[in-house]
Amino acid sequence: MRILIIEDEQKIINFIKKGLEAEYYTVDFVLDGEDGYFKALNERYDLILLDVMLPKMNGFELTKKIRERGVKTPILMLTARDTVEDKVKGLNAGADDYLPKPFSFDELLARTRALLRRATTEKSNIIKIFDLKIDTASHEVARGNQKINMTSREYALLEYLARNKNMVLSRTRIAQHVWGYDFDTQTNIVDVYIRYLRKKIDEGFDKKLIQTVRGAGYKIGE
Amino acid sequence: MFKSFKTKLVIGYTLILVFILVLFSAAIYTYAKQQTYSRIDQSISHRLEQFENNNGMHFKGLRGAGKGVGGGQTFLEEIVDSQGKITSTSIFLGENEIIIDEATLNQAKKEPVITNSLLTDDSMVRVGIKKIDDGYFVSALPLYESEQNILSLGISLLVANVIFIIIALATGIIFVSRALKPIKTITEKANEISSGDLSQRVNLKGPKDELKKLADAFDKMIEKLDNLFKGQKNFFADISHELKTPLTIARGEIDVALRNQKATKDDLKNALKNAQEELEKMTSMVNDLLSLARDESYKNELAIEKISAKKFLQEIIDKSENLIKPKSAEIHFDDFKNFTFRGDKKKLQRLFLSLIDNATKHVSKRGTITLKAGRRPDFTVLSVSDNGAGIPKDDIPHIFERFYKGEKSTSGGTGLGLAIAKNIAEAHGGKIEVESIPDKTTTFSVYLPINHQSSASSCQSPGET
Repeated sequence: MRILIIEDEQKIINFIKKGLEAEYYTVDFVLDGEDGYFKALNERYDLILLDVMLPKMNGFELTKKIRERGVKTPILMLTARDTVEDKVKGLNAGADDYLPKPFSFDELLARTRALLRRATTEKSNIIKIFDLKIDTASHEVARGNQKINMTSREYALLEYLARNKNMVLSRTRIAQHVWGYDFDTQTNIVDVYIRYLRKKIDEGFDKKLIQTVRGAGYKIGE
Repeated sequence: MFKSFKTKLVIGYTLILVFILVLFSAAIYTYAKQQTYSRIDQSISHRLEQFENNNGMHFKGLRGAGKGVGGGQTFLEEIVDSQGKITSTSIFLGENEIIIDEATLNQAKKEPVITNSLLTDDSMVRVGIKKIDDGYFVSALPLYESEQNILSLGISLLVANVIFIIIALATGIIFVSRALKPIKTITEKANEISSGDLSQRVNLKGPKDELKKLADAFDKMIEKLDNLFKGQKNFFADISHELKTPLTIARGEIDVALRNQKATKDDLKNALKNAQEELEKMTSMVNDLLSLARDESYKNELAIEKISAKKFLQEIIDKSENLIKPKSAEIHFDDFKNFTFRGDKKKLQRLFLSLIDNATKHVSKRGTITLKAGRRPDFTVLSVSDNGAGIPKDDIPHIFERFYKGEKSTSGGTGLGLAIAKNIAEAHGGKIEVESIPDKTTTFSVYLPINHQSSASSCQSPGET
């Protein structure tokens, strides 16, 4: 899951990035509204954390503009402005949620998960695919009754696939969302990690969940 | 009772009108009545004279007399003896008699009398009595017709007055309503504004009369209030932003560190250090805010004392050691002939430490900060100069605003230091001026008025060098 932080205070970015990366999210950041606008428009993110008082273009304006351009990425506004009018203004501009500063990091994570969940059909933190269970809050993965241990990158890849279950995802898209940058098409890091995942999830089970779609990419599904 | 100004105005104006009209009508009425009576009296006295001239033919004369005299009216006449008994009457009297009392007869003994009286059928007459040889000659003209004329004149006047007053009342109401309409507009706007919408203005159209001036003055006042409230709102928004940012960082650092079960000792130490930094920033911000609030609420409570200029500058240099250390800047004051001035020493120290703090942030490493003191006819001038990068021209009008930080400012200050400095200077009745030549020198000059100081203080204090 790839998250963009648009915030002009470097120190706030620092701890959010640290905290989110510890939860296996991929984090990108920019320091002003204009850069944020271009990034949100031109790259794929699963969530945008947006400050309101930003240099060059404020958060309300940015939200309105990217929504006008058809970007549907969920937006969570983070701001010191906590009046009802501000919240209404933010939500009306097209933000999905509003969290006043200072906030508890647990709450930020919970809201992040809720927003990511909302983009799919899932209604709880646990994603189920056949007998595979992924708890997106505790990051525990189990197939049947068997718990599976994973590295953070494997988990991030699995979660991304699972959130988009039954959808064919290209290698480029997977690389963007899980690693946070565009890979040269020559690299096969996605294929390598898919292989690791298959070993842990599908090996020894009759039902194979991870499928290769020739010429297109991968998908996970029953 | 008459609550509306409009009603009061209309009623007042109508009352005056009624008064004038009544007075005027009464005058006309009285004049007309007088004229009528004097005409009648003239006729009667003429008749009495005539009678004298035709003495001796009175009985016959009475029978046919009267016609053609007194404007076409018929004289009613009789002759009474000295006891008041009627001896002869003119035929026009018919069965009537003219009633004359004794007192009138007595009066008429000396000279002819003209007075009001009645006939026996109660109709009013004007009567003239004249003494003749063996009694009195009485000649009367009926007043009925004249009284009728006067009465109808009175009624006409009354009706005319009533109509006139009704018209005046109606036009008065229309005129006053129109004239007072701007007041209604102003009232409505004032109500809208007091319900919270300070962006409203009256914007009265029309000629530049008193009401337009009132409306304009009102608009000006609202403009000022609007700006004041906006300023206050912005100030609170700024405070909340400035205080919440360090809080967010401190809390975030701690939250993230506590969540991380694999955190090393260094990770934890780092998080605590970051949080500590933010708490320090918040502490200085809260201190600055408090002193700003104190300065503002106790603007007039200065602990004024006599201050030696040289000693004052030396103390500031000693106190600023910690401020200039990070940049290893050099600070000194240019020598001058010492003098004393009056002011609140503690507050002035804070003012200069704020200016030095600000200067330190702008000088490059090992820069120079120079303090100066001097006297002008009306002011003591104390200044702080630095040879740093200078302040961009566009920023200069704003640097004394609270929380203003220049576009390129990376100084990390609270943004309150200069606002505090300005407050202190103003509390002393003085001011601060800035002059900045980019990349060369920036000077903050503090002007303290001498009239704020007693004449005694201009002498040198003893024991100073």
